Amino acid sequence: MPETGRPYGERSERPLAGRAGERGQIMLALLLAAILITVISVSLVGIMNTDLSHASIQYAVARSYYIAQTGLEEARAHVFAAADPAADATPAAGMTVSYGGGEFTYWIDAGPATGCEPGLKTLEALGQAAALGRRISTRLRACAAPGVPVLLALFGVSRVEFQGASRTYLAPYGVGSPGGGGNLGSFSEINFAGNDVRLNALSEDTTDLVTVREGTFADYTLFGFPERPQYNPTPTAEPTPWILGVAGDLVKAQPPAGLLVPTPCGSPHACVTVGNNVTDVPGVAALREANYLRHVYLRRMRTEIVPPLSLDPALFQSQAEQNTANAALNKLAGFPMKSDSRYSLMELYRIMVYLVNHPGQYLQGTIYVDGTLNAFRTWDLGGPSGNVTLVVAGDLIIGPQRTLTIRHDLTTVSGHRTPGIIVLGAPQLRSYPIPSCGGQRLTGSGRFVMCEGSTLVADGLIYTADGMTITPRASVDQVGAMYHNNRGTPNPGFTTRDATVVLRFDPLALAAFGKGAALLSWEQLP
Amino acid sequence: MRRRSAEDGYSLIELTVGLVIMGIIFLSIYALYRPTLVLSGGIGERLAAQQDVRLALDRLARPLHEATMAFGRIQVYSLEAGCVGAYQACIGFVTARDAGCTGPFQRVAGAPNWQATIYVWRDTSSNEMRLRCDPSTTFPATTWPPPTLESSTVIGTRMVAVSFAFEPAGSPAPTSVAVAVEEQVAGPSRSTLPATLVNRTVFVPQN
Repeated sequence: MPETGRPYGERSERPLAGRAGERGQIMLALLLAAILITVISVSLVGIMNTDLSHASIQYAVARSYYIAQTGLEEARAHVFAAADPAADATPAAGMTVSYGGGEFTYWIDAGPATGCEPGLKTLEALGQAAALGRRISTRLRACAAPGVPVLLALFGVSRVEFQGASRTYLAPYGVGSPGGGGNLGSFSEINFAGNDVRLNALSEDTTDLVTVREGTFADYTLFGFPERPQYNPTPTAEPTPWILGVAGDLVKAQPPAGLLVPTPCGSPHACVTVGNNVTDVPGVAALREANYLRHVYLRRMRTEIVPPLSLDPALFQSQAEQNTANAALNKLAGFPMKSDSRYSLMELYRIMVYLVNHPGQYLQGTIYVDGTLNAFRTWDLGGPSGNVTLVVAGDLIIGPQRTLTIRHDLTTVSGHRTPGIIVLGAPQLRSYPIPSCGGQRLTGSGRFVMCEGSTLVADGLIYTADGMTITPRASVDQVGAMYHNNRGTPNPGFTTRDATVVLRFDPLALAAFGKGAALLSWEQLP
Repeated sequence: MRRRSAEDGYSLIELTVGLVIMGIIFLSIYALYRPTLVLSGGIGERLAAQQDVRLALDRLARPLHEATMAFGRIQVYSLEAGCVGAYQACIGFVTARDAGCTGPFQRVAGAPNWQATIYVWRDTSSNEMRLRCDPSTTFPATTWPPPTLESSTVIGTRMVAVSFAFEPAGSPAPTSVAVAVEEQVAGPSRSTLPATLVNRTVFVPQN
């Protein structure tokens, strides 16, 4: 019997609301349930929040990267548009621009933008994107060569020809780890006439030596190899050996609008041809394997729109007329009243006779010569660390077995930027061509001819208005770059036949064109 | 002494019934939220996997951006090139950073001065994505495996599939590298959610 004393079956007479002590028990259960639900809900919201945070941060990281990239391009455009790209700089605070829901700040040789080598521009960009009340940043840095419109070691507006057993090395000037070769290009055609042509062929079977100003070295040292690289030179065995990566690119260039010169294969960009065939070779493997050019080593072929470039004769005339650094030499050579450095042919020949007879004395600065100049003796214009730019308003010929030396002080930025040889051509072409060595017929169009066995040692840019020809057994030792224009003649832009050309590419040599900026390296700062 | 009615306790039956009702209520709530809890657990695991994939790609992003597409300086290894068996998805590319591929960016005359080769691959036995810095060469080996792969760093775990591919596909002059990473989600597989998570990112080397 229950302790309440009620008989079985008798209903309690307690009201439904319960006794006072029972009030709140349901509430307790409800509270517990509510707490449980709340905890679960908060956990879910927390998880979602974490997901959203991760996604937002990741999105902001990606956005900040692309915003920084935009900032770097903006910095490059700033240098590109500057009247003097080499002197262009931003304030130390940088230039801040809102972009893409965030903002970028870029610096040019100011603020944190430091670290690139002298003569180069340091570009730095900070991209920032907001996420969850925070700013996510990406910082990028690039080194750029100012005033350099395009990175090309050897370029011919018209045909570039490699003939006979010519040896050509388009090597880097600054040698670090192996690689860094210079690019080769044309608007018209790059022709490999025969199978004996050697281009960047580094000691394929035995060690090959090259003689440059510093002495005689194994050719592979030009490209940064301390020892002879081991590779299989046979294209059929290894059609794309890794050694190709050491060399530069072959650029099938195309002007921004129309054709400057016709291309033999009918394409809008330059063709690569072999022998007399006008079919365009599509790639390096096809060139080496299918066309049997086993001694030609290039990293790759690519098409690129390249701006046509030219130099203004008036600028160099003016520089020479204002160059009084040779006044004393003029006086010693028999021109007491001449203080400038713009010479007639006879004046320059007389000065050169004086210099040959008085070793240790040199010309300085921009030398402008009216007429076709024939270096019929061995000339050293500026000494081992000079600053001479030889400008010829005619053609330039280096006589057989003669040497022409124009070296710059390459420890200075100006030494890198100063042009070496500018062959502008005469204002009016001769109607009757004058025969020269190597079967050349010169009309004063601005050609540069190296006769048999001649030697050229030059620094800086070599620019010709109508192309360059290097005949058998001649040799070139250059630190700089070559750009060979065309004056509407059928002359090729560059021809080398049974000669040796060592061109150590220095991007700053192209700064003579004074346009644009070429990026040399890119890094993402931590 | 007689207690007042307000002080009366509960009977065992009342307590038992109350507990049963309460249990039913809690079970109902649990039943109601169980799919949600399962889902949230799955989401948590997927988030972790997603974050793993992001971290793995972050580890690759900077060195790949700082690499070059120049021929011979970057290699994607095919099955025929030896990336098979214990290895899956193998790539090698240069870096201009010294000191174990994480030091300062080195330059010469403004251009990158390559210091080492970075190899990345998936270890099929452990399902790990691994990275090896080889300072002995600046040209990735032409065949896999390269001479030295020990002392590698794990940059991703539970990777069930990885792929590296040049883009545009089949081009003689590719311009970018597509990296696809598939990670196994931890924990029991949920029928409503895929068991793996895939992230595909295209990197454009800038040098």
